[in-house]
Amino acid sequence: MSPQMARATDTFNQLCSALSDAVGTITAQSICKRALSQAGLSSSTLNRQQVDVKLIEDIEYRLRIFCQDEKKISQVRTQLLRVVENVYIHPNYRKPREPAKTSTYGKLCGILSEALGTIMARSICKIALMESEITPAMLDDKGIDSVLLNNIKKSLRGHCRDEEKISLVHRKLQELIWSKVSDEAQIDDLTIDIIYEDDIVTARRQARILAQSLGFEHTDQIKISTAVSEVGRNIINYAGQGRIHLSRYKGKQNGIRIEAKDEGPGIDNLNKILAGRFRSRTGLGLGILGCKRLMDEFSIEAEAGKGTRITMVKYL
Amino acid sequence: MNRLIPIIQYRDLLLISIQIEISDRIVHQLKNDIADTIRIKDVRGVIIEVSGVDLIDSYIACAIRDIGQICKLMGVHTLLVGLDPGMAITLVEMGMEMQGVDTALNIDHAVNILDSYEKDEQVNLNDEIDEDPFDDVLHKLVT
Repeated sequence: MSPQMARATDTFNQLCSALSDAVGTITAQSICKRALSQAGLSSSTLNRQQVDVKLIEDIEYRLRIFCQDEKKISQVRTQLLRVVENVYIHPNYRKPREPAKTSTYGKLCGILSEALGTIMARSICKIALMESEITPAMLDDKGIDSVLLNNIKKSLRGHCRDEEKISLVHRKLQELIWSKVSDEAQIDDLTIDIIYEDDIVTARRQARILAQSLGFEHTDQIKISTAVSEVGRNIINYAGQGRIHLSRYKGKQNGIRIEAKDEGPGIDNLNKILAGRFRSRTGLGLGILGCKRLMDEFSIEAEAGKGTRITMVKYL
Repeated sequence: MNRLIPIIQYRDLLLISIQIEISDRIVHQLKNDIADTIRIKDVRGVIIEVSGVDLIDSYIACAIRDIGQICKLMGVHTLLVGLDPGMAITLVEMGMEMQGVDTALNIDHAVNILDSYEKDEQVNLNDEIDEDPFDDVLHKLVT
């Protein structure tokens, strides 16, 4: 037997022995063989080809036919991913599809390894990717979406109890998403003309999309779009027309910046409004005050006759 | 103008499920539509389901409060159902008050609440019957 052959059977055997935790040896072997032939591989070429996530998924799918014990299945899954790890770090075969360290996947693993061991970090990444149906190679183009992020956070919580480390990882993940977003300059900066009433809806939808891509949580997304809706309505009701500028805010803390500008009559009873003693005809008189309460930073320039300018910032 | 938000009558309830991003115009129209429908149809409750709304800002909140108060004046209970937790937090933080509008977690709860109102009213009705002087006459006749 050639040495390569021997190594090939190594990987195959590793897969089989991982499976034999849940089912008998013979069943394990036949599952592996069928999965391989389905993927167009043979046990001898297994080592030269990368063991990809699809193969693992296929094996798991076949395993489910024979074994209904979820606990065992998840054990096997971890084992299988460990086998994949071994193949990945095998010196001869790591080159072709091993993601570079600078890739999003590499960074993701690096961040997770702050809280866990390297192998554990990688397997969490892989499981999360598998569950969100993304391959490591796709990650660079697609970016980290909220589904994947939630999957990672969920499985991180399952493996790590240290709250401090978890929050550190969460923060770093956010930063990673952030740096990803900053590469895509086109959604960084957005101006929406507010001329008709329906433009308010457009503005708040855009604000929400931007907030989501910047990594704001669901509740904050709603707060941001609500604030945009309020300032948009002020423009329509009191100035007739104006514009809203949405942009990414970079300071001590990252966030989103909303600027609403119009050339209307300005606001003459500003103090009364900010003190909460004002009732408008149409709303609850909470437009501006509500925005102030929802946002982290709020400033308003509204000299009578010179137009209004509201600037708001919400931190991430 | 055509209705953008359907108002569905189910038995003696009106179900309004808002599943779109609503502009001020649509909200205003909805307010009028509900009032008109209540006048024409024989209903005892209005359920407004807002799980599909993108956000509730001060204008929409005010409109929902108005709808509640209008319905109350017409003798119909209004229940707000399916408020997203994020929206609830936003409403509270903005300091919006929604007097006159009862809320329920889901439509089942809402129907139960409306049923309990109905029962309360029936109990009141029974109380009045108990005090009916005719009862005493009947009682004397029997004895």
